[in-house]
Amino acid sequence: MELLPPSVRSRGRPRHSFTAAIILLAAGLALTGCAGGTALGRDAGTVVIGSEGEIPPLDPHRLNGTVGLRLIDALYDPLVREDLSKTSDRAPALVPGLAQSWTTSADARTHTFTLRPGVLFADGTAFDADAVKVNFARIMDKSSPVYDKTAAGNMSFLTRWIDTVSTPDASTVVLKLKEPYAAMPRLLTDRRMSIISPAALKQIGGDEIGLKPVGTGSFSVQSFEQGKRLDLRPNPKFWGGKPRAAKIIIEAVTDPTTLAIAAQTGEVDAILSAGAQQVKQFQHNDIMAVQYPDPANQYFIRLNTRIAPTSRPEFRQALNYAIDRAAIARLTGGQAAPSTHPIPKGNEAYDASTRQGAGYSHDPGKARRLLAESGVATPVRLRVLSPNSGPGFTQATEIMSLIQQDLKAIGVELDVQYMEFASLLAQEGPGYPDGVHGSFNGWTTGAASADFLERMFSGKLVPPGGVNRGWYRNGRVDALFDQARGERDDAERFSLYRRAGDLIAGDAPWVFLYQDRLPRLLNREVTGVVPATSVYIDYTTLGRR
Amino acid sequence: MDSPTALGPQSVSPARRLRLPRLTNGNATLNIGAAIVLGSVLLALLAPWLAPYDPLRTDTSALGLGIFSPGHILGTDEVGRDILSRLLHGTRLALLVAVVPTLFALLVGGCLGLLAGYVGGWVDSVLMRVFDVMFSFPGILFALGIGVALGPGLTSMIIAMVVVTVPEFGRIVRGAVLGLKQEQYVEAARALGFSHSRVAFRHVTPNLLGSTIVFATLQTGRNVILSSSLAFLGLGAQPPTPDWGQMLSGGRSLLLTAPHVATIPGLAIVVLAVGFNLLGDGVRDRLDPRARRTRP
Repeated sequence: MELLPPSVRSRGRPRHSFTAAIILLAAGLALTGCAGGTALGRDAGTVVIGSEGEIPPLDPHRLNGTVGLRLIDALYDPLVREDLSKTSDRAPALVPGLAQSWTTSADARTHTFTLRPGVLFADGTAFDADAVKVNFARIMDKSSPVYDKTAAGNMSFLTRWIDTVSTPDASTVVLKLKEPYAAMPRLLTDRRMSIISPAALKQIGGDEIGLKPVGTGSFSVQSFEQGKRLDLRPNPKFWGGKPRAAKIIIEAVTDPTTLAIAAQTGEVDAILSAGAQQVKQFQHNDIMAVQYPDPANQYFIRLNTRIAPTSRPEFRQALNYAIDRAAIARLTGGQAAPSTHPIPKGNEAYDASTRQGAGYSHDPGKARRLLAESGVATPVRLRVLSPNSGPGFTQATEIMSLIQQDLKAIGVELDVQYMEFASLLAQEGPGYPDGVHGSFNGWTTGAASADFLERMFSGKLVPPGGVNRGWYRNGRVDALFDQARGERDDAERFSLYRRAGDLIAGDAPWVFLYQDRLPRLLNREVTGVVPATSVYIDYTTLGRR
Repeated sequence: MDSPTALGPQSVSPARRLRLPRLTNGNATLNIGAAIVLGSVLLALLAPWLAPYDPLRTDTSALGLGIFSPGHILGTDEVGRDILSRLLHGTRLALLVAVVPTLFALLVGGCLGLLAGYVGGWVDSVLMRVFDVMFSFPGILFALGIGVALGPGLTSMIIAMVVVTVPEFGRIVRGAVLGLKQEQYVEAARALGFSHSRVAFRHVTPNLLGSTIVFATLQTGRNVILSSSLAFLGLGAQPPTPDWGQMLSGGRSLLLTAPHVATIPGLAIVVLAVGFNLLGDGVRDRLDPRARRTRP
């Protein structure tokens, strides 16, 4: 009763005010329930993006996972960007980000970046070479006051190549590398290497910057409810002109069915990583359109090459021949494109020869012959780990059911231990222990040839330093990697990586499964999203009719 | 002196026995409950012969087929497996995870309750406080916690369910024992110098059976729901084992395009749970002397 406004309380007998209270309460609930929906009339410039995962703290250097990286892309800029305005079947071309141009020395060990002039952070401070230096200090200079151990660990994929970062003048940054690495500019497009405002970093602190992000991006944060909702407005200080959308709202709706309903009712305009069931629902639908950007990624069962029987190449090849990848494609409504080669579509080195794959067709007869050659007695039991849910793995249990059946047909029993994705990472992070034959996993940033292939397959990058968790090692592959890394000529470098890729395909350290085409669902009113081979979208062109 | 009243019902019962089996004697609740439970047991036993397909056989050319599709009476699920076959095979697991935890909880909880009630004193206080602590957690949350700690799987789910339900059995038995301890025949047995174990197991325990059997049957019905919930959350038997809770969870992704995939296992869970509850109610009606007296 005391919660009622006086006007209601004074109007007559208590019974009426009680009724009024109920009505008010109902109306209030209805209003809060509809907030963010179109029902109450949303202005045309607002785009609501449904996030399939919870919104993490938006600290680029500490981030991992597409859900968060895709969001920070609106708030921050890396030094080098990808051209998201064109479609192709290779990685998008490089375009200037915060660096206007760059040069690589003849030995591929020194990279010089000329910075874009006149750029301001959202907090009004100027972007210059010192800002870049502070950002690198945060992830690699232990003596720096802004040094952050978590961020440093997350960024080691980049910093392990870098010897020094120097700033000869306010608009030049020079990276001196420990080893030749010609593809450094591509590596710098990784959104984790976005540049944070040094002033904000010092003022807000490394632990809080994820909740109050300050960058140079096209948008800045109006309000942020961690996990649930992010409200973005155009950054008035953005260097690239005025973005088309007047407001972008990101709503986390982690249940796929609920997210689909929200799209159907118009509460959500875009789902940037849609599941097969969502796509199926919106096919031939006049509300949402489906778009396939086909970014570079791989889904696979990484095998433990240290223990029997997965230590034998013939056995691993047999597994690859046993899988009916077309069935997985059918299960996912065509969303999972069969993959039989380590170099995915959308990778820089992808071309017609890798498109053919390694010839791992569905051939149970051949699989059985290879099994016999490998000398492994069937039936044999393999223990693998698998996520049971999470972004990218909504159909994991179904896919594993198909694989279990395929392998059973050649006498291989697959014992699958399902767990949350985070638990999977915790378990396989230190590399497979001797009791585990592998795990179902995926890798979503596969555009860079050097970075992707070396991290997946280099014998030098096993845990704890790397993510080659199956302990795969081939001396010839590692030699090719070393040779390719210093090769400045793109065509030559890509051809070296393709040769390495062919060798890897033959060794079959993975059961190659599929590439997620990562369909987007966009309301037909939404404009400015080009299906470039990337999980990212251009926030400056995103708009609504 | 009181022979007429004592003989009265007994003189009627032989005649009734001729008409109907005694257990289901004119009790609709009991009849329906028993029919559902017995029917489920039969289906579970005969599942391999009744099921038209291997419950694990996937077929990606027939995903999410509707009810009455040719060859698949109840349609197919999200991986193209025959729902009827999975449902039939799932009956085995459903009964197993309903009955086995009940039996274990009955055994453990019953013994603890008997101990607490019969011995009394500090033993009683300690046990009851422990049960209080366990009661203070919401059942499903408690079970989830235990299940997560032990790692997902059938065994850990059963352990979790036993742990969650032990205090309930303990409480019920303890309460009954406290009452029985005051009975003259128990006091007489103790006065005769019988050992405590003899009094507890030979004189008290038989008189506890009625109320505990009723409670156990009702608890089995609740276990159907609890086990399905845990399986739905991914704690029970691991895929692709046919399990109703898991089928329900898997069908969720098709809720908008093929709702029957989730609805059918959901209905099965409801029917089995209701079956056990009716059986429990029916048995109570049979065993409760007051209820019997009200009947003509």
